Amino acid sequence: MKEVYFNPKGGAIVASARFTHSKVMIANYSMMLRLKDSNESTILKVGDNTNVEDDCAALSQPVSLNDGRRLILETGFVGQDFASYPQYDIVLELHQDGNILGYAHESGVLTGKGQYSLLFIKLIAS
Amino acid sequence: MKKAAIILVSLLSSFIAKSQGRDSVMLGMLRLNFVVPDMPAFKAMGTDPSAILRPSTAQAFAVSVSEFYQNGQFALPTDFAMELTPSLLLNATRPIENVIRSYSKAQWLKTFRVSIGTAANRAPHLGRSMAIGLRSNLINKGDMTTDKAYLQNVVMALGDFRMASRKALATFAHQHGIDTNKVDYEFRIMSNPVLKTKFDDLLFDMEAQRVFMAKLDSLKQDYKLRNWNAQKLDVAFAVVGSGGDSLLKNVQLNKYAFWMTWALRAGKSGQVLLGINAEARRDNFVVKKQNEFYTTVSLPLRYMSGSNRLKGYAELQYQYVGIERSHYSFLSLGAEVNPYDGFWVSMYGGINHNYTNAGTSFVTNLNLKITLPESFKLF
Repeated sequence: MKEVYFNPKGGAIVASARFTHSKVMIANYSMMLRLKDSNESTILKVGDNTNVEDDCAALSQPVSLNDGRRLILETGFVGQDFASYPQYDIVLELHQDGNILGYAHESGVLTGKGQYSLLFIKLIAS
Repeated sequence: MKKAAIILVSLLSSFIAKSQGRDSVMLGMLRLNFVVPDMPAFKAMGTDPSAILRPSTAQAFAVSVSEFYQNGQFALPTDFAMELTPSLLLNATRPIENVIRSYSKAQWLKTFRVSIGTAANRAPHLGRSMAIGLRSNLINKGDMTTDKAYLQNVVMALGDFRMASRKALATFAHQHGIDTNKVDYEFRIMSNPVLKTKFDDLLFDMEAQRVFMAKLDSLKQDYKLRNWNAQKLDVAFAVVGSGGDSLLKNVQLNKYAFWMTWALRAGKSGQVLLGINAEARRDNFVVKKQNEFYTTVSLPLRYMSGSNRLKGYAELQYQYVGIERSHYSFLSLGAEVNPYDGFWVSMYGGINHNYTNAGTSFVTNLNLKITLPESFKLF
C-alpha cells in the first residue's frame, strides 16, 4: 500500500482525485477515510468528473489524528468511446501546505462496460 | 466500376455482420447513428435535383449510393461516394492527453470531412465525373458526450454500479477465503494481479453489469430520440472534374459548388432546414460555350418530422439556372428510414417546374447511405 508522510503540526491535509476527461470516460467516485487499524470508514466526498467542481476534500483536524488512517478512492466508471480512446487514468493525491505529499495511481484499458477501481493511501505522521 | 460497387457493399456487409458478436453488446457511445449526411462530392455531381445538403453528425466513414432504380427497374448503382472524417480516424490511436487537448480545439476542425465521389455523365462521350468535397460543422448541438442531463444520468447509474461492485468484492473475498474482518481486506484483492483479474472478470458478467448496460443503452436511445433534430450549421465546398474515359484521363474541372445549411429544431419531433447552394459550372453540351462558367443558385427549405429512425419531409426549393436563364421551383415529399444500425434509406418524389419555359417534370430519387455501426471498433 502506498504510504504518504505528513507533518502532524502542519496545515490541513487535502485529498484530490483526478480522472481522465469525461469525454473519454465518465466516473462516479467516493472518497473515504478509514480509521486506524479498523475497517470503519467516514465518507469525505461523493462526486463525479462531469462538472466543474474540484474533486477534493479536506481530511479531519487536528491533522495529527490522521496518523495510521487510510484514504480510499472508490470509483465506478465507463468509457465514452472505448473503441477510439481506450486508456484511462485515475489519480488520488494528497496535499499539505501547498505541497504534494504523494499519490496513488491506476491506469488501464476501458472496456465499454462498467468498471471499478479502488485506490489506497496510508497516512503516516513524520 | 460496377464490380467495385459490389465489392464495397460486400465489405461493408461483412463489417456489419462481424460487429454482431460479443463486442456488439458494448457501446461505442461517441458514435451515434444519426442519419448519414449528404456528401458534397455526391451532391456536386448533380444527380440529385434537391440542392439541400443535409447536415448531421460527423461519421468516421460513410458511403452513399444512388441511381440504382431507373425506369421502374433496379440496376447496379452508377453513382457513389464515400466520406471520411480525418479527426475521428487520426485520433483513434493518439495518447489520451493529446485527445483531451484536441477536444478543446475548434469545432470545425473536429468535424472536417473529405468526400470523394464518382458518377456516370449524362452524355456517354464525357465518360465519368469525379468530385472531391470538403465540409464541416460550424454549429453542432446534440453532442451526447457534453450533454449535462445525459452525463448526470450516467453518473447516477455508475453510483449504483459502484455500490453493487463493493458488495460483489465482499462476496468475492468470502469465496476466496479472505477474511472481510481483516483491516483493508479489499487491498489484498485489488493489489494481487491474479485476484484482481478474476474480480474484473466477475464484474464483467455480473447482474449489476447487465442492469448498468441496459440503463446506458436506454439513456442513449432516449438521447437520440430527443436530439436527432438539434441545431447544426454546415458549410461545404466541392469541385467536379470530368474525364474522357473510365480511367478519368484528361480530367477537366467543370464545376465548383458551395453549400451552407442551417438545421433548426422545430418542436420535439420536427426540424427545419434552411439552405443555400451556389454553383459555377461549365456546360459541356453546348460546344461553343465550353469554356464559359455559368452560375446556379438554389434556396431550399425543408421541414422534417418523425424520429431518428424514421422521418418524413416536405421540401420547397427555388433555383436560378444561369446557363438557361431560367427560374425553377421544386416541390417534393420524402422519407429517411434506418432499418438497421449503420444503414439508411433516403427517398423522395417531387415536381420540378420551370417558370421561364413553363415546363414541368416529375422526379424520384432513392439513396442508400451506409456507415460503420455504432458498436464497430475502428481499431
